Amino acid sequence: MIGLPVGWVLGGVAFLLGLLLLLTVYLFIARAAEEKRARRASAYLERHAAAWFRHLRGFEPAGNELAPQDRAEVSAVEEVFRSYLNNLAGEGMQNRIREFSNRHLAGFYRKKLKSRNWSDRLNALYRIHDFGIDALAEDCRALARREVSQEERFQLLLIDLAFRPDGFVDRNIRLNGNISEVENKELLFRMPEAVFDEAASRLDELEKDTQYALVDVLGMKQDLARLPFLEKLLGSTDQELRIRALRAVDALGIRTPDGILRRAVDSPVWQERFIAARMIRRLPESEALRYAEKLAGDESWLVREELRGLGPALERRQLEKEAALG
Amino acid sequence: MNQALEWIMLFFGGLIFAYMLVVIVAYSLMFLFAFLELKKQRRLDRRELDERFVDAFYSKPVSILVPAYNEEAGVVASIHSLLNLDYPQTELLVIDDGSKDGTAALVIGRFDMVPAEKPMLPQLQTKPVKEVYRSRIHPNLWLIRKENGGKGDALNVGINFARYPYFCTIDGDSILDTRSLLRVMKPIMTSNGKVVAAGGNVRIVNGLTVDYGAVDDVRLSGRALVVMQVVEYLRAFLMGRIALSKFNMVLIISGAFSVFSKKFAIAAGGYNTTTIGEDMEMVVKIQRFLKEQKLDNRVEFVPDPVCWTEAPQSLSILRRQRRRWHQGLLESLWAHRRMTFNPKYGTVGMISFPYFWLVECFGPVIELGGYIYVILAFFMGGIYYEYAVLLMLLFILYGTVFSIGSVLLESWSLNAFPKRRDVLRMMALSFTEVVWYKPLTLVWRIEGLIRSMFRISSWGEMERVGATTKGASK
Repeated sequence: MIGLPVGWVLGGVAFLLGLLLLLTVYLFIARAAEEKRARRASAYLERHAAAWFRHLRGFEPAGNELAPQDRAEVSAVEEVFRSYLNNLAGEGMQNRIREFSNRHLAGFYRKKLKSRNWSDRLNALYRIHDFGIDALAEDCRALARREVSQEERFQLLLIDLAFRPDGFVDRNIRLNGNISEVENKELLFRMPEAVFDEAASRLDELEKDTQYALVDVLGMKQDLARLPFLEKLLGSTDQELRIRALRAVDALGIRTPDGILRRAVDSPVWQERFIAARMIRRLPESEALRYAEKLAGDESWLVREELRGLGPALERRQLEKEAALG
Repeated sequence: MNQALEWIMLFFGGLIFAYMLVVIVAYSLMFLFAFLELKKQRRLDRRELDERFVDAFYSKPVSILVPAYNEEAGVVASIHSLLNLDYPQTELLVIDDGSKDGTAALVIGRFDMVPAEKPMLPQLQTKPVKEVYRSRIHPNLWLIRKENGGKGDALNVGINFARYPYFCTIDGDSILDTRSLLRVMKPIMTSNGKVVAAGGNVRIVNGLTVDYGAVDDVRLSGRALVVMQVVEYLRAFLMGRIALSKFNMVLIISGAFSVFSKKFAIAAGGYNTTTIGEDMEMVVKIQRFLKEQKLDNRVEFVPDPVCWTEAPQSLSILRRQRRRWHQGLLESLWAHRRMTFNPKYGTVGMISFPYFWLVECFGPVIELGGYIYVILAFFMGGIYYEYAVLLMLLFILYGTVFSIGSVLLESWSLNAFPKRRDVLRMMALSFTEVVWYKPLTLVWRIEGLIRSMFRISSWGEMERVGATTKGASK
């Protein structure tokens, strides 16, 4: 019989079990420390909840006692800010949060931005953006120059937009597909009006994905003043852009101008006819039926299905026509 | 004679030993990848992302499909949990697959439903639909009653009726955490549609209190059999799927909780209505479709979003479940056997398929052989003791060490069971796994293997099953 490494394997298993035992001890100690931090954070909140309320509502300046002393207290302050920002935010409150964060939290997040842990860096970026810590704008720009993940890249763009809106479009006109469509939309939606206007006026220079997102956002914003811009896009040679522009017109929720509707009803593209079918529901019944008749025998099931709501009225009109002819 | 016996023992001993080494190396690598991934995400404040995607402007609408067959006991809690989801735009389609109990009546009564019309595009062939109801309390809740055709058929009906471009499948007895759908949709939303299917983490609900569809106070069940399954789920989901997902090699995402792009699911042919493991079959079909069309889309597993599901509490039900899972596994592997070692299918064909064949499918035969070998070797005594001891040690390494490691990894990264006592209990039971739970599941899986092998020649005559959730692959 060949010699088997039983001793080695036994040693290996014993070593691994010993290691797991040590990890268990470490885990429990780490948990105890976390629980202690959570207790410290709650104690901080209990002590200072009223003072925070008075400060953030503008009744009194922030006293030195509010400055967090350690990680636990920083997390307590974060919870206070998050809670107020989510529920009661106003410009004055945001300014007070920014001021306090710049003074007392910037150092903490500066360290986190340099962390090798991705979660720590991303959490810091979230807080810098949420609390408006512009004292760290330069640190964020330094981070942006390094190779970062898609999530960090997007968060850095939001921060750049918030802290330096002037020239934002110029700096980021070509994102080279670095961010997703959803992120594109969010970025465009959060743009101040002037920045958004600049992006819209330079539509042709934007990446295709950003162009599509911009048109979607125009629909979301439901700004009637944008109708002429959208109408112009309906003549685009890019089919996708045309469909999205039509969808944005539909999203405005108004009675669609006849010219647009006529072109959409006669379009060779089923998506455009589908949107037209949705648009005609907002017309008075007699006009809607005029368009619906054209679409009633459409080759696309989805277009026909969209007209279902008008079904009984369509049938009635058909009967009336037949009666008149008869 | 003695010489021949010695050679046979040596041969099988060597074979089992080599297999164990391969598995241990594979598991160690998967453990390492899971550790690195969880370490990266461990401290992330997920609320930030949740809050962003909870806004309808940025999320994609989802049709939630709940196939139900005799789910009277759990369907109402499940619907409540789905109605409570933090997700901006969903429609909820409960598909009653010809239940014999009062599932439909219960849902109609509890949610004040009335007959209604719902547009459907018949893109997949299904059994006839009998009636469609819509809730007057929750207008986005629908009940579709159809003839019994199996879970796959019920899901196909759901796809035909689904209004939105993505659909999420949930078992009729499963409970979702409120933010689970947001989190499982995140890779789909941020990848510009590159991720075409995503599955979440499934955990066991036994022993927990469920109040109006929400899980209260997570604690471990008092039953050893259930705790062992909890550990098994942790190990399978955290260790196996994270690593496979990282390299786009996932072949299974749980049917209990997964999201698919409707376009890709239909392009892949929809759910198979004759196979037992329709969830695995769907993922394999999508992977196959992607590779054949040379598309770079992905299937992902997301460890954080949690779906709670009920685990069998008795040996007989657990046996049936494991037998069915294994049958489903073999059927899917067999149906797509030409992908094995086929470079055309990339890492799925070259790594996933061989791994699933060797470790997941035929592994139980070798492992049970190992147990028998250990017993024989002890009886034969002498030089075979060494082999027996060595194999036992490898079993401990393979079973106990990885199980305890998974419990610790979970506890460190996701902390689903915050009580220290629960963690210690899971670890203590992991020590006993190799002597009772493991051999039992091996026998059941081999039973499934044998049953499948006899049925492979009569592929088209597969016995139809209802859209049961208890026995479906997790």
